[in-house]
Order: sequence, then structure tokens, then C-alpha cells
Amino acid sequence: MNRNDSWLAKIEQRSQNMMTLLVLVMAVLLIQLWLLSIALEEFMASQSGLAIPTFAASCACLVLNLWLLKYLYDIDRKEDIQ
Amino acid sequence: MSKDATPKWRKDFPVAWGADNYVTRREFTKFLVLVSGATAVGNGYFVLRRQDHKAHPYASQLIARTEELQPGQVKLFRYPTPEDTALLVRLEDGTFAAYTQKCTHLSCPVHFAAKRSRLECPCHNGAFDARTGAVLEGPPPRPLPRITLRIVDGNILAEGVIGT
Repeated sequence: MNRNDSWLAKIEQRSQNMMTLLVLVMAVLLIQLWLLSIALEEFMASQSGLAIPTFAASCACLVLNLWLLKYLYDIDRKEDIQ
Repeated sequence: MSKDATPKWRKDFPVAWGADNYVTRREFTKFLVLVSGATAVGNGYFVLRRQDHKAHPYASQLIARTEELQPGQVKLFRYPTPEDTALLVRLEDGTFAAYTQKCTHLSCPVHFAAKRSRLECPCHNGAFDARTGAVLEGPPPRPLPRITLRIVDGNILAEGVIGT
């Protein structure tokens, strides 16, 4: 493998990482939207049993998304150093 | 370079690459995380509002006399506004319950099925418990809004709506 092939492989690897990250963030966001719809239905029905659990789960999803975002910044920082 | 020397593709696409307004996957991912934060805040709003489920107060209104209805019978009335139809039901044990008549699925009018002691929606076969208003079957996503009642000297008064 020459130097050019190695560089192309690296670029492809980064692109795949980026796409995986994007899909994960989208999946977590979809879960959050589902949780929000549950909380809304509960509120409309004048019930509140699931308000706190859905909020806690949504916050956990946000933390996961922030962690993924941090990973994205780490990738960018690594690229800057190289 | 003379003006004629400009290649045709440059004339067709005069916008420089750097000035093009496209969104990279990185920017889109950052935006999604922002939406994620907004969604969590939205969930927090319902936590803050969870104590606000008291009956919505409306003017007290006489809707019937207790002797008007026998167990298993129903009376139609309008509450809280003349546009809102509602049902007063006397259950088999003699107690009263009242609900707005709009199905929580697609707002079809529900009717009382005395034999099964439940409120049924003929549009999509939804059914609600006549005692609590809870969904028993079908597509309705929420219980029927319940009208709070007070009985004074044989007069049945409507005093508010829970679950609008």
C-alpha cells in the first residue's frame, strides 16, 4: 500500500466514523421525540405519572448526545493536530 | 485574463465554493444535539406543569334533578359552553358521572351503552369506562374529559371539567 492509498483509507475511515456518529445522534433524538410525545399525551389526559421518568430518560439521552458531540470535537481536534 | 477566456462552467456556476450555503454532516450533527437539548427542556416543561391538573373552573350550572334519571339512563346537556355537548349518566349503583361527548380520538360523539356500562364511539369502535372515563379499547389516546358534579338538595350541578 503506497502513501496515497493509506491517506485515502484514512479519509474513508473518518467519513464512516462521521456517518456512524450522525446516525447514532439521530436515533437518540428519535427516542427523545417519542418520550416527549408520551409526556404530552399524559399531560393532555391530566395525568402526570410518567412526567418525571420521561424527563429523566430524555436528560440521559441528552447526556449521551453531548458525549457523542464531544467525540466529534475530539475527531476534529485530532485532525487539526495531524 | 480577458472576459471571453472565462470558462463556461464558471459562467453557469458563478458562486465560489467557499460561499456556497451547504450544510456539512458535522454542522447537522451539532444542530441535532441542539434539538436534543430543546427536547429535554420540553420534557422538563411537563414536569413543571404536572401539578396543574385541577378541574378547569367554569360557572356552576344546573343540569338535572336526581329523580329525572333512573340507573342506566342518560341525559344530554351542554357544558361549559352552548357548543359543548356532554352526557350525564346514572350508573347501576345509583351514582352519577358526566363527561364531554367528544371522543378523544377524532371528536366523534360518544353514546352510553347501558348494557355494558360504558361509553362507546361508533366511528372507530373506541370505548370508555362509564365510571372513570378511562379508555377500555379502540384508538382513543386519552380518557374522556370528566365534568365534576355536585348534588345539592336533589339538584345536580356541573362545576368544572377535568382533562380538557
